[in-house]
Amino acid sequence: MTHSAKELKELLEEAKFYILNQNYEKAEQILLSLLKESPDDKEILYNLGLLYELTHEWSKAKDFFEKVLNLDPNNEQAKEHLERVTKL
Amino acid sequence: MQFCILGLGRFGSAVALALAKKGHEVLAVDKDEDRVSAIEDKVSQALVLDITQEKQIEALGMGHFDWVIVSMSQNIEASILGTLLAKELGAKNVLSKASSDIHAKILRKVGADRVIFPEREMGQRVAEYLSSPKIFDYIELSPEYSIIELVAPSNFENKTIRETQARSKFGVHIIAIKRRIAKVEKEGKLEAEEKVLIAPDPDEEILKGDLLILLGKLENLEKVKKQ
Repeated sequence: MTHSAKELKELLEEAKFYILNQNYEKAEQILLSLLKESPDDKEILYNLGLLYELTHEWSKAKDFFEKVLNLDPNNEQAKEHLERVTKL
Repeated sequence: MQFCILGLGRFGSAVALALAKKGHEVLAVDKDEDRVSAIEDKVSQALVLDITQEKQIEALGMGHFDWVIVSMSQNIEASILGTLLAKELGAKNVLSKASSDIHAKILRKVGADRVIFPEREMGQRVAEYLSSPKIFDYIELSPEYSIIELVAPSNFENKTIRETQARSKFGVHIIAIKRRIAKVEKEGKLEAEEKVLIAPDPDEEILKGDLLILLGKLENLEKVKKQ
């Protein structure tokens, strides 16, 4: 099912709401389905990275932050998070 | 606090920089001019000195420092001499880096208050992490007891501490919980912040992603790891 730009934005906000409320399963479901439609959306990728960082799935988090940086090498936020999840 | 670092190799310079970043007064010393130049604008003071020369090290006023760190384990003679002189000249506490057990024994004999093996200790931590990726940190309290930082096992998620029966069933204490949660920053972007719950209430619910700080006997911690 494809969504309009407005619907995508609303679903992303919904996913962020779930992350804020620590309902990581719901947030992950929404973000992964959005990712299928927009695989190069930096915000979706960043929020997935953040979600996996919060659930301590750091190797998944690393993949997503790296994807953000491949699209936007100067993204400071993604750089900081990548450094955090790759530090022992 | 005031620190004097003798030897600015990889370890010595890392300690000097970290202490300076924490706001401490740091005097960094090495006989190599390049090493001193590389650090001089990041610490309180940096000097080119041969610390095996008693007169030169005397001028530093060892008694002023809370800790003197001797980090020249590659040059065993200099490390032993530096430790001995620092202690004789009034250093309150001397921490020396060792490269072997025999080196450590000698350092203790000549007055080192603490001897460390950073590569060995780090190697142990790395080995712990690689063999148990869910363990984020590990401290050995005694041969029997350790403190570990473990990602909450799935069987503990959404249960209260009481319900996990960590103490009664597994014999381990959850002494703290480190929890990263999201918060809203500028322009609606999400960021992470860390909360630490010390001595958490038994009715505190454990969430997915929580880092549990567990204290217990090794064999009991192993049982929890497998949950």
